[in-house]
Amino acid sequence: MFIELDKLTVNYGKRRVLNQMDAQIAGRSVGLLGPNGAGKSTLIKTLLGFIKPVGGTARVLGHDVRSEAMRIRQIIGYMPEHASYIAGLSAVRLLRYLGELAGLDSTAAMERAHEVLFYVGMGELRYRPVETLSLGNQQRVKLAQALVHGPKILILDEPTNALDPDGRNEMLQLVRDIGRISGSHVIMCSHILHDVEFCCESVAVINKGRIVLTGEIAELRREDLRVYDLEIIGNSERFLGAVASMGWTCNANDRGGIRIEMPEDGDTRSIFKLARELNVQLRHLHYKKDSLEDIFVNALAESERTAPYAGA
Amino acid sequence: MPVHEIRYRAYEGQLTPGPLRLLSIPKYSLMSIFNKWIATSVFGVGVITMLILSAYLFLSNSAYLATFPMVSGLVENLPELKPRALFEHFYRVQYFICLIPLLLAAPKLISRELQHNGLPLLFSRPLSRTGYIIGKLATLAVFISFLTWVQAIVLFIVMIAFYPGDHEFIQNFFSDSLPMLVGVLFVGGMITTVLSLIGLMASAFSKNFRFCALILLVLIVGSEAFSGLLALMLKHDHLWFGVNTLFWQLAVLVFGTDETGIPVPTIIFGMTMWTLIPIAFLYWRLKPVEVFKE
Repeated sequence: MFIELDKLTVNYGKRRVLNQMDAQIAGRSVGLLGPNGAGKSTLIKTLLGFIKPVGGTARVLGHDVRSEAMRIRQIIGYMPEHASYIAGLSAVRLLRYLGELAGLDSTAAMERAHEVLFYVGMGELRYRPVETLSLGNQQRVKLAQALVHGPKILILDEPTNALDPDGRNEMLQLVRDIGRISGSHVIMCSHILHDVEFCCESVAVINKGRIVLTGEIAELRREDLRVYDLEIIGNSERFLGAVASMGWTCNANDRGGIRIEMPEDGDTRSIFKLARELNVQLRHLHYKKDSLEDIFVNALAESERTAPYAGA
Repeated sequence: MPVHEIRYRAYEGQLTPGPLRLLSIPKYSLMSIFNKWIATSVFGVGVITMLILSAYLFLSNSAYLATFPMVSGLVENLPELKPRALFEHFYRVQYFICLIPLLLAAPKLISRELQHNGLPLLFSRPLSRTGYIIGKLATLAVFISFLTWVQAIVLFIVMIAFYPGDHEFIQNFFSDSLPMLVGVLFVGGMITTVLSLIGLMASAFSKNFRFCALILLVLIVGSEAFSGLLALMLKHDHLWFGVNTLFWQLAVLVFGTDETGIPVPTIIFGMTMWTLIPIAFLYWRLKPVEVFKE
């Protein structure tokens, strides 16, 4: 694991934003998921040492965020969510400046600036002032500046913000590429589940200041399960009882639908057979695999049930 | 088919020591300042006082030139300036000359980085808030030092070289010349530090550098006018806290050229106030986590 959180608590004024967060985050590329205001950005800023925790500890590659913030910043590359650049500097000069601040000597910083800008597809535009670039290209410059000093951990806060579909695909390819070949860990914070699914091997779900789920996406997805969404007319309680007695997991959702999860060797025809026996009319049946969206929604629902928010 | 594919490569080279990295802040800031011809030319104008005073010293002390009637006539009409008075006059003029490049250079220094939320990029490097402030302060300090104490040292050397008498400067080095040199460095250092801090404070006020320039002007001119008005109306000398008055009175006090017009504790308090307030403001304002909104 490269990040360890032990009862990490962070306040903004009197408001508790991270509430005794416990987690051990591992994996080459990790997606940080959570609804707005869940504490994703606060966690990132705490890991960078921008915000001091009021309780607990956090360690990044073994370094404590309270006492070793500078060491941590040396090994982290951070791509902020909002537009961030210094007006009047060309892309290459901005990267060279930031590279030198991170400890590269002048020549190495210049070399890396060119190299990284080419890598993110900004080779032709590298001498243009950053403020004259399109939002998409500014986004690429932000990624390049996070890479310029060769970090061991790359933290990307909403990297596909403001990108058109083509730009978004290219950005996602880059992020996936970095996660796979660079040897760096990638933490990608995003609202877009598809982006996380595309780029990341693992996921950490945050809700109301706590990490409610961590693990590898492939494992969490329960690929060995067959999931059916049904709509029925008839005695639904009896039907649910009968499904449960078959050993399958079933839940009724708020919209009157039913979700059945059965093992990989389960047979769709069993559902029809059961419906006929119980005299229940099937109005809708949809087969799907367990997606990241389901994992996310389930994790949030589970956290709401088990740990209602205890913010100050 | 691409003939050359660029792949990501991690950096595995050596890292420079921490304090050396701070030098990149003044380096890039000075590069941006001197990118504009107006800043360079104003900077050039800043040496005029030193050249005039050097010429004065040369003309009034050269035995060779004194043999020329035209020069001796000109010298006779020049007011006599004692060494300490010369430095006091030098600093009084240089203070105003410093304000022009300060107004050109300082406002953009931090506001440019606040404008598009550039601070998180800087602070996500191993750079502390203190390091950032020192780096920016060094930019202005280099700038103002060149216009103040560096020129004053040159003037001091010129004075030693041309001063008449039997090597009076060297004979009285410890009793007179050395204290004067220390005074030159102290007054120059105070002007450099305080003006740099005020310039930085003004620059951190807003994302808009024009507004920052206005704030700087208000701080320097406004404080002078306001404190003067207050002191005159209330007939209280302790109320002089304008920057110009404080520097002028500090120079008078250090060089001992006259009685100070305002009490010495007021000068000390004023200088401390103009040093601590900007530092406190900069620490409060420069946070890496904020997206500045105005």
